[in-house]
Amino acid sequence: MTMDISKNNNLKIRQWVQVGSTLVGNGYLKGFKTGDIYQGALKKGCIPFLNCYSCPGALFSCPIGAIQNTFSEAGAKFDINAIPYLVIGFLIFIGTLVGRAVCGWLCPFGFFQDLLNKIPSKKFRGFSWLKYLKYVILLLFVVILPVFWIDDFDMGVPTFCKYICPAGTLEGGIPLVLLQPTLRAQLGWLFTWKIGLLFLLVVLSVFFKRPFCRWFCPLGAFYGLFNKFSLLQIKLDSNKCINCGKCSRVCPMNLDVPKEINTSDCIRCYDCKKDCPFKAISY
Amino acid sequence: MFLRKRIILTLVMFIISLILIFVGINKKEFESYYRKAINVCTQCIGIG
Repeated sequence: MTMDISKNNNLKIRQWVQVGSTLVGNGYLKGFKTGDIYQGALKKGCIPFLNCYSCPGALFSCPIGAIQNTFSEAGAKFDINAIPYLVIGFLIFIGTLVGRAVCGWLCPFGFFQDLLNKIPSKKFRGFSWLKYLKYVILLLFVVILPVFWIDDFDMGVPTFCKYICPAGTLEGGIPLVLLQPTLRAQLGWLFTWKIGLLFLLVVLSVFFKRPFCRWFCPLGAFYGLFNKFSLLQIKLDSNKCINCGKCSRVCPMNLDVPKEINTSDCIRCYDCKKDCPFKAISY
Repeated sequence: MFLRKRIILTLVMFIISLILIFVGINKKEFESYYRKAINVCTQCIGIG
């Protein structure tokens, strides 16, 4: 009984933190009424999770958007000065501090997927090799293409934001199109493609745990590189572990926890810690 | 990973991150993020 209460408390605490970070990241509530976006000084800073800066409520810049924008602005004149040092340094700092805990506790799009997965249905694990796709997306769509794909205006193309990011469609595209009639008149194949991609992810999220985080998210891929040596770690006491599998069943990233603890896909949610009947998992 | 090696790696990464942040602030990169973030990004929202 005590264990159940503790487990529920952990889930509730994490959900409240996720709600809080979603509100902090998108606290310009006036924007949702008027269709304007926030133009204050807070947008000089990046938030540590994926949050489209074109969301009417966004108070901060998106780190993945900022990286691509810096590359894009340089266009054909790309050199060492066009590297986004500030945001890369910021992401390395956060990654070294907490690893992928940002994904588990703060990211609104991760929270969105967690909620969708609560819809009762048959659940599937998915192919494990798909986890490597997010590294390809990070390298190709966030770095290589924005640097080398130059458009007619001599600017790089922010390919992840433009062709993939479902968070941008959900938080920025849909609200702005609903609120601004002038934007509605400009919709074309790109919007249809992005809505289709978002719809696909919504459906996948019902049947698979966090498909975007596990297979597609470039920010999660970046933070995951720091999981092995970040200050925040998860420890498994192998003397106490009996391999009952309870931890793996509750893991929102579908990890085999005893074997994959602290790997690049662990989002430090600590749901496994709370569910372990033998207290084998600790901070 | 051995504890000592892990601590050294963590420290090195913290130092690298702080150097990069310092360089970025010195270059006023935040002004570039700001310019982009205060206008509706038609590419991000799927208009092109």
